Parts: sequence; C-alpha cells; structure tokens
Amino acid sequence: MFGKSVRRREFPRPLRKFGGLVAVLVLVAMSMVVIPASAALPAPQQVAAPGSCDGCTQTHPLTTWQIADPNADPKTLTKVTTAPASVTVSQRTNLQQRQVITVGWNGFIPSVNGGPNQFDGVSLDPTNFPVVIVECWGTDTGGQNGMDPTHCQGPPFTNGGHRLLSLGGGVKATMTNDANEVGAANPTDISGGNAITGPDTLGFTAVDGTHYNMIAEVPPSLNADATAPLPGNALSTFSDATGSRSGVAFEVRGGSDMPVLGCSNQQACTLEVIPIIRPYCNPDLYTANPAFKILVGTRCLQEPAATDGAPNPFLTADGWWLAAQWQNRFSFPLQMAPRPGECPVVDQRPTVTIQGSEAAQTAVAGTWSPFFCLDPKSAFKLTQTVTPEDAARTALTTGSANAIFTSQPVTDSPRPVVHAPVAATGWTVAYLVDDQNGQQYLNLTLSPLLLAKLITNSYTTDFGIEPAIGGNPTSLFQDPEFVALNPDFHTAETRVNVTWLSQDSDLFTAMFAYIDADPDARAFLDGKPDPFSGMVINPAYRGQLHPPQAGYQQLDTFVNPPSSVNEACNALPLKLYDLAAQYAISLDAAAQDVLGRKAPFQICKGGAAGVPASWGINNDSQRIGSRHVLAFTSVPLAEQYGLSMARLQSHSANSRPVAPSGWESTGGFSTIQAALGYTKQDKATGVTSPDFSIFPYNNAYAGMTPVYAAVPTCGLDPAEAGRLADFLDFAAGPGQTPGTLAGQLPPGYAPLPTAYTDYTKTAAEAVRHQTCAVPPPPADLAGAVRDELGLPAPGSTGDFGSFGGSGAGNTNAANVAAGGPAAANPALAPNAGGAPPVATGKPTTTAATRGAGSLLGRWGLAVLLIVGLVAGLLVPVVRVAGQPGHPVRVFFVRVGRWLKSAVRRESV
Amino acid sequence: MTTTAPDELEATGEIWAPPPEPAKPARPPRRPLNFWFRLLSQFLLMLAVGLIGLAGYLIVVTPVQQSNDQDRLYATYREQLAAATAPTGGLIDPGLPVALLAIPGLGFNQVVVQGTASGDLEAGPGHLRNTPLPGQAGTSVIYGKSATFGAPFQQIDRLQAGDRIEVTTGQGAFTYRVIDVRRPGDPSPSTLAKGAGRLTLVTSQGANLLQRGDILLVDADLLDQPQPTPSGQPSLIPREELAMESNMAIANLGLVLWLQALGLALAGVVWARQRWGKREALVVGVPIVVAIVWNLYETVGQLLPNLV
Repeated sequence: MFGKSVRRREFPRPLRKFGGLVAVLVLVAMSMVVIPASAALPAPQQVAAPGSCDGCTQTHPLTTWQIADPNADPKTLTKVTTAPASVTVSQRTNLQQRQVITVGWNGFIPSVNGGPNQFDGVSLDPTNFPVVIVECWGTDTGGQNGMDPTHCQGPPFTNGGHRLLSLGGGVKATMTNDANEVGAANPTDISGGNAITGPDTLGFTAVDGTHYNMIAEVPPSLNADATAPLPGNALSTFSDATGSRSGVAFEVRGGSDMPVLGCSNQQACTLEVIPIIRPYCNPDLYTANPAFKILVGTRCLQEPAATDGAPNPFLTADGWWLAAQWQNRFSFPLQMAPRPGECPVVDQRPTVTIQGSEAAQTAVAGTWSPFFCLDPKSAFKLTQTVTPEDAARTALTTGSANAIFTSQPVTDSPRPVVHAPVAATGWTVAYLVDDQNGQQYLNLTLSPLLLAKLITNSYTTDFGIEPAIGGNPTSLFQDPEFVALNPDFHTAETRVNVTWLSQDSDLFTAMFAYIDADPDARAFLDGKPDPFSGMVINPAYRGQLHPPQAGYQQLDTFVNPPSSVNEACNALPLKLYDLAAQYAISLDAAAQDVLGRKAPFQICKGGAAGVPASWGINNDSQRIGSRHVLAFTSVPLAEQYGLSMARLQSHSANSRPVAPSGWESTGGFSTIQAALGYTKQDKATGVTSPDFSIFPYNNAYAGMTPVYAAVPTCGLDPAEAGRLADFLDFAAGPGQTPGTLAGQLPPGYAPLPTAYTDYTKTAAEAVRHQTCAVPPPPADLAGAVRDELGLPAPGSTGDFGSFGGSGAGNTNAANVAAGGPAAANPALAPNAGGAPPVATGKPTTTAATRGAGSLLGRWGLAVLLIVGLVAGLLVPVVRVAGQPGHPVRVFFVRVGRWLKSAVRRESV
Repeated sequence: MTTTAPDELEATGEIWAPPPEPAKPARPPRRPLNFWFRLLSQFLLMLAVGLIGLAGYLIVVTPVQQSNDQDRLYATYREQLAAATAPTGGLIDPGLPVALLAIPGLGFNQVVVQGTASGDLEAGPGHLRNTPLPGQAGTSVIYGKSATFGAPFQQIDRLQAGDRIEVTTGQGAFTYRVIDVRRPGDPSPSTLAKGAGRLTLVTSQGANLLQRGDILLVDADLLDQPQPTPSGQPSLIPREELAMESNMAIANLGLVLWLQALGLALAGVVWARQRWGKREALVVGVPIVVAIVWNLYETVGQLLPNLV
C-alpha cells in the first residue's frame, strides 16, 4: 500500500490550507458555543434548610486549649478548634409550659460508654463525652462570661444538687471567678496546699436572687428525691458514633413548674447545649509534676487517678460548667408563650368566662386567651374554667353559666341554646412505651376490643389475681390480640395500666361510643369470650356498660389478698382494682403523668419507724428505657407534651391503623377532618358525632370529637351577648388558622370546614341579637363536609386519595412559628382582627410551585438539530452555487441578470 | 493518455487493445468549485454530520448506555442489599446506587443513584443529595431525565393521585401514594406533618421531545412508618446539582478540549491524506475522529440541563 505504486498527488495550494482553516474554524466555532452557553445560565439557586425556624440553628467550632510551648516561660495557651459543629432545636418561641421540643446536633465527639439508655439522673451511668442540655434563666450574651452557669438547672444527682468533681489531692476544680463556691479558700490556688478535699459544687442562683449552695441548701423544685413534684428537666445524653443525634426530647419548664427559673413571656430564658470534650494540655508541661493532662479552668492538672473504677469526672456530665466546656456551649434564647394569667391585673376590660370541656382548653388557654389579652383592640379578655362537661351543661341549664364548651348537646334548658362549633379535635390514648431493648416504641395500635378490656379491668394485673378471670392475660402486653396488632413490639413487661380521668368527660363518652359500635367489643361487654384470646370480661362489668358512659368506673369488689409486695398494708385490705387503678384529675394531669413517666397506682407507704402504714399514690418515675405509661387524654395535650398517640384499628372493618392528624398536613390526608365527613347529627341542636355505621375506619380517625360553644340566645345582657358573639366570630374565622402564635389553632386541632364555621357565624349573629330563636342547623353537615373536602360517599372502599383542593384550606404560611408582624407585639397572630384568613373549604394555594426554566433546555436540542438539518440542506446548494458552469447555477445567474436588466429598464 | 494497459502486459509483449468505446458526446470539462464555496460546503457538511450525529447519539446511543449503567448498578445494589451494606444516609459519594424505584402502573423499575448533576443522571434517576433518602422522614427528592439517556421519567406526567410508587432502600421497602402532578405555577402540596415522609419526583417537560423548558414535579406521601434519618446529610450542594442546571464546570472544559482535539485530528487526517493517501488516512483517521466525536457528544450531553 505504501509503495511506489501509489501516485502522489500534489494538493493544490488552497487545499493545503484547508486543514489549517478547518482547525481555525473549529476553534472559532467552539468558542462561539461556549460563550452563549455561559450566558444562558439561570441565576444560582440556594437550597435552604427545610422547615427551619428563626435562630433555631447555631453553628460554631468547638475549641480546646493546649499549651503552646512547654519550654517557654511564662507558658501560654493556644486555642485549637475543631470543624464547625451545629445544633438545631425544633422550636424556641411561643413555648407552652412543659412543652417538649426536640434537639439535634452534629459535629460533636462520639460518647464513650454510652448506650441507648439516657442518663436520667437516677442511675449512675456516667458517659464520657456526653452532651448536657440545661435550661437557664437570663439572656446569654455570648463569650465565656455571657451566661453564669449558676443560673442553670443542671443535671441532678442521686443526692441532689449540682454535686461536682471529687478530685482528691487537694486540687480544686473551679471556675476562676465563682466566689460562691463552698470551701473556696482560694479558688485559684493550684499548689496543693489547699486542704479542701471535699467535692466541689457549683451553686445555684434563682431568678429572684436567692443563692443556694446545693449541698445543704437545695430549692424544692430541684430536689431530686421522691417528694419533688417534677423531676428536673436537665439532660445528659449521648452522641452516636458520628458525633450526632437527632430528635432528643427536651421539656421546657415555665415559671409555674419551675419557679426558680421563672421562665415566662416576660422573663427571658436560654437553652444551653454543652458538648463535653477532652480539653488537652501538653503532657510534658511541668517537669515537677509529670503527666498533667487536663485543662481545668486555665491550668493544666493531673488527671485524677482512676481508682475504684470511678470514671474520670472531667469527661462526664459533671464538668459541664467548667470553663473549658462552658466556652463551647450553644445557646438558644427561649421565649415562652404568653399565658392568660399574664394579662395585667389592672386591665379594666371585662372577662368572658366559658366553663366546660377540657378538650377546648389547650386552644383557649394556650393561644386564644393570650390573643384577646394582648390585642389592644379587643374589648374583653377570655378565660376558661375547666369543668366536666355534664356539670357545665347543668350550669347552663340552671343559669349559673352563660356559655359553656361541650361535645354533647344541652337538653332541658329553659333558655333556647345554640350550639356553635368551635373546634375539631379528639380523644387519644397517649403513651410512652419502650420495648425490651430499651428502644422507644412508636407504633402502638389499639382496637375497640382492647379498649373494652382495659376499661373493664379484665386483665389480671401482677398485683394479684382474681380467680374469676384467672385465665386472662396479666396485662395488655400479654394479650394475644395486642401482640397480633403490634407484631414489632416485644417486651416482658407485665404491669400496664391506663391512667383514666377520675371525673366524667364527653371525650370518654365519645370513646365508649366507639367501643360500643364495634361488634366484637360489644359482644365482649355482654360476656362473650374474645375471639382472639379467649378472654372473658371481668364478671363485675358483664352487661353493665351501655352508652352513654361518661367515665371510667371501678365496679369490681374483689379484695386483693395479702401479698408480700405491700406487706405493711396487709391489714388495710384494698380492692385489687382500686390498687391497680390509675387516676388523674384532669386530661392535662393525665398527659403530664405520661410525660413524667408516672404510673399512679397505689402503693403502701410507711409501716416502719413509727410511721403508720397507709396506701398512697406511687410517685416514682419510670426509667427511660423501660417505660410503660399510657393515659387517656386529648389529642392537643398529647401534641403539646410530645407524647405518642395510639393508632386505632378496628377488626370488624379489617382496617389499617389510623392515627390522629389534621392540623399540620392537609391536602394529603387529614384523619380528623376526614372523620367530620361521616357523622350523625342531633336533630335539634346539630351536634355531630361520628356515625360508626358508615365510618371509614381505614381513612379517618375514629376518636374525632368536635367541641361546641353552647350559648343561650335569649335573656343575656346585651353587652355580654356582644362579647360572646365576638368570640364566636373569632373562633369561626382567625381562630381556625393553624399555628402556635397567639390567636391561632394549636397542633392537635384540625381546622373546621366551612360547613361548620358558617353555622358558627350564624349562631354568633343569633347570640348577638338575642333573637330568642335557635337558628336551624344545616340539614346534612356530613354531606356538606364531604363535598367541601372531596371525600367519597359512605360505603366506598379503598383508600382516600388527596382531597379535592387542599382540605379545609389552612395555609402553611401561618405555620411559621416565629413569624408575625414586626410592629407591635410579635406574639399577635398576623391576622389580628382582620379578614378571616383561610379556614374555608376552597383550595387555597400555599406557595405556588416555582419553576426552574432553562433556556438551554427549551432551545438547546432544537437549535442544534435545526442547525444540523439546515447545514445539511445547504451543502448541495452551496456546492451548486460555487461551481461555475453548473446548469443550475447558470440558470440562476441568467435569472439574476434578467432581473437586473429588467430593473434597469424600468428605471430608465 | 488513453492506454490503460497494466505494466505486466507490456512485459509479455502482447498488446491488448480494449474494444473501441462508443463515441461519447463531448462535454465541456467541469470547472473546479470555487475554493471558498468548497470550503463552506465541506464545513456545512461536517456540521450537518456532526449535529445529526449528535441527535443520533442522544436518541439511539444514550438509552443503550443508560441501560448498561442500570444493569451494572442493579448488580451492585442487589449485592449490597443482600449483604445489608447499602448506604442509608450521611455522606454518600455521587454515582453510587442508593435505592430501587418502581412505579408499577408505568412498568418502571430503575436504580436510583446518589447525586443529580448532569453526569449522575445519565445513569438513571438521581437522589438530590441534601434531602433524606426515600423511606425516611421528610421530603426526599429524586431527579430524572425525560428526553435523553433512556428518559426514565418521561412518563411520570401520566401519574395520577392515588397511584403507587414503591421504593426499596437499605432500610426496607416503602410504598408511596401520589398526591399530585404539578408544573410551575400550580399550588405546592401542603407542608408535611411532623415525622411524615414524602417523595418528590422531578423532571423536565415541554411542548415536545426537543423542547424541555421547565420542570414537572410529582409528589407522593409515604404510607409506611418513616425510618430514622442518619445524620451527616449535606445541606448545601453544588449548583450543578440543582434543577435544570448543566454541568458547566466540567462540560465547558471538556467541550473546549475535545473540540481542540477534533480540530487537531481533522487536521491530521487532512495531512495524512496528503502524505499517505486517502484510504490509509481514512483507516487511521476515522476511528480516531469517531472516538473524539463520541467524547464530544458525551460532553455536550453534560452541557444539557440535568433534567432533559
């Protein structure tokens, strides 16, 4: 091939340049491509962290100190910083009393010897490099001295107080400026001549200025023994192997629960998160004292010898306030929500007091009352007196109350009474339960049959066994039906009781209606053995319970035989189920029992040392990792305290478990709002309750209970009638906006559909004008709700899709907790007194979807293809045009010449 | 010169005269093409071939490449799932498989990779790195191409509320239910309940296959219990991983370099044609040029917005 036979052709000169020109053209072309492409870039977008609240994330590196040069004199310390770590809290403004927020972090040091069990101050389970979370009064201005650690409620220890490091050898561990330290002869003395060998303790200064030394003087609310009303809320917990955690629950205490901190809307408080790290010193520092390793204050000290297996106190939670740890704290200013009690006493405005249902109280006291108190344009203040609903109905009937909250209709009232819906919420069984591995269980599922067994005391309990039901399981957790509904849950716990209300409640009535509607449960209540486990009902309850049941009753008279457990009280016989019964005086107390991990059954107290034996309520808190507390309470209370809520599943409908929801997510699936579409109505008053004959158990929450304000429309003082009407208008409008600001609807309530709020407004007019007539309620509320929310007709099978539109239209812009107008009081809701925002049925848009238009995307491919095609088509044209003598070109040239001459002839 | 006798015949002494050809009408010789016109036509020809070739690459070759990548990713991911070593969160390198996405109604079944830059999405749907993985609490976002590289998300605009999407990750198998399909200007779905999970599929849409101007999103709610999210998820990601962004950083450089290489190769072919001859030059030059053009096409593919 490459031989002489190949004829070498001389390329004509132009063609030799061809290759070079191609290269040049290609380079030109590519620069032309690159430049327009850069120009077509859309503006850069930043993706924000999801759902953050203002100031809820703090980021800074952790610093530790090292001796720079061991040979230098004087010695200087240099700071060594780690990579930035960040801490995030879920909410820091508008906090309710004992509200539970979650804390998460990353970038800390992994804890050592920590396990899944949190150190809860009762057991000695020290963790090296824990993370300590404390609540302090005052504002943290940053820096080493921005917050005095004596203002903080730190982790308590078994003997109470802020007991601290036992160093031995006379070495003191101090803050360099804490003159309040016990036994501090000379806090900065390092030389070893200090004779104080006792433990060093950080004192505590209360918000009113009282100082406690925390050894002999401990304020009552920080005393960690059994008489304290609440265990402290300080946490010492672990970081995982990557130095991170998320979802750590921290209970914020307000002034009423922790008066020594006094956190309130007026008293600023701070949440401090302190990672415990190892502050290093150069080990070769002092030749006279070798092996100094730990930085304490600003000096390097010898690490205490690890005698008797005691952990190094510097590396545990004990040292949270040492300068080396304190400097790395992350601080979050906390702002408590305004409380109704904070309304100024000298406020001259009249008060509207409404008695009744505790189910409404979380909204009324938590957000609605503060709104009326803080809004200068409001003509009155609002308060609620919580009473059992039947007492409230009686009060309305007898005339001693002029407005009540109730979920059942008022009958027999001489005055005509209108029932205006103000809130949609529900009952729930709240729980904190850990499985046998100490992990919290989050999917507790109950059925009406299980609830029937619980309210009839049909489990034998481990306190003693009643022979009549000797074959029944010991507790809920041993019930085969429960095990079948909760297959992922394994435990050996045998003591499980639900805390019931000691009074009557409409929520209990609603729960019993749910139980009664289930065929299995009804058969069980009538004495038939349960098909799942063969359990029989406690004979004392057989056939005794029929709707309406307003409260838990203890009907079993069986006396607990003498036992070794409560030996001292064997002379004081107690009925078994009085012993096991757990009562709370209110739904709030029941929820707080769960929060405080308390199971208030009876135990024998005294009986020794001259104290007579008597039965008393068990006040012990269960250890985190082995919790088994359940309580009957309302959904908003469970939400406020961060409690898990049991899902309801009905065997008869072969349904899937459904949890309450509906205040944060709509348009997706809102189980409380869905339940409003399947209700039956009281003909006279319009009061609705779930209609269990058509209830879609798969898709709606069966515990839904609406709350009504019952107000007479005759005989009221006109001024008071006007105020009540204003309140009803508020409840029908701005009060249904979900959120945590004053005037909004707190989590746990689902916004009412328009079908309901329209009637509330009609009722408000009737109240305002005292027409002495009750406006007729809408004929088919359930149907109207179904139309509005796009729910299927009763009897449809299958899952609900999304609603038509976005449910009852609560926008999510209102969910921003820290929002609100910059002017006036930031705690006022953005729609104070204005047009009702969005609690309508129309699908209100949240944010509109933002596009990401791309010019390159729209035109790039098309342009490339078109250019290619055009180029391809042009090739023969160009060849033709460039070849002199080609017939087509000749033709066109002739045509061109003819045209030219024709033009010339015309112009001549 | 009219004789065409080979040299060997001269040696034998025979004279072979071909039969006389029938007389052809005389035709004036064709004058050579004007140089500039020839140059222009050659350039246009190359351009046409190049661009049509690009279209062919994008339409024909890229689906094959993506299908290949999917097979490879599936083999890797299957092993990881079986050995329980599949990544479940934190910092995962882009390009690694993180989930299996199946939409039974569309017959769709693909492996999702980590990362959403143009290059990452060439292998299949990609997981947006600053969102949690599917099956975890929060909104998990998955991008996919809708025109090139197998167009995995081309059909998702046919989804309707209530359709199922199934995802398998190292944490288990999860089912999502579609709640809406939205375009820019449509209302966003409601905010997520605390602790709930959502999946958003994002791709591009337009009037036709060539014009993919804006995005299309499909939201789906998680029906199962969300799994815990491991920490370490990045919160800021590079710009080229956002919606409808090109991988400008890599692509520009690549484009410049490959175009230069193409120019050099073409120049080389022309030179070789002169020195060695046409056939030889083509034998050597064509594979080189094809290889360079292929790489050039791949770079152009990265220049396209990542969702196209």
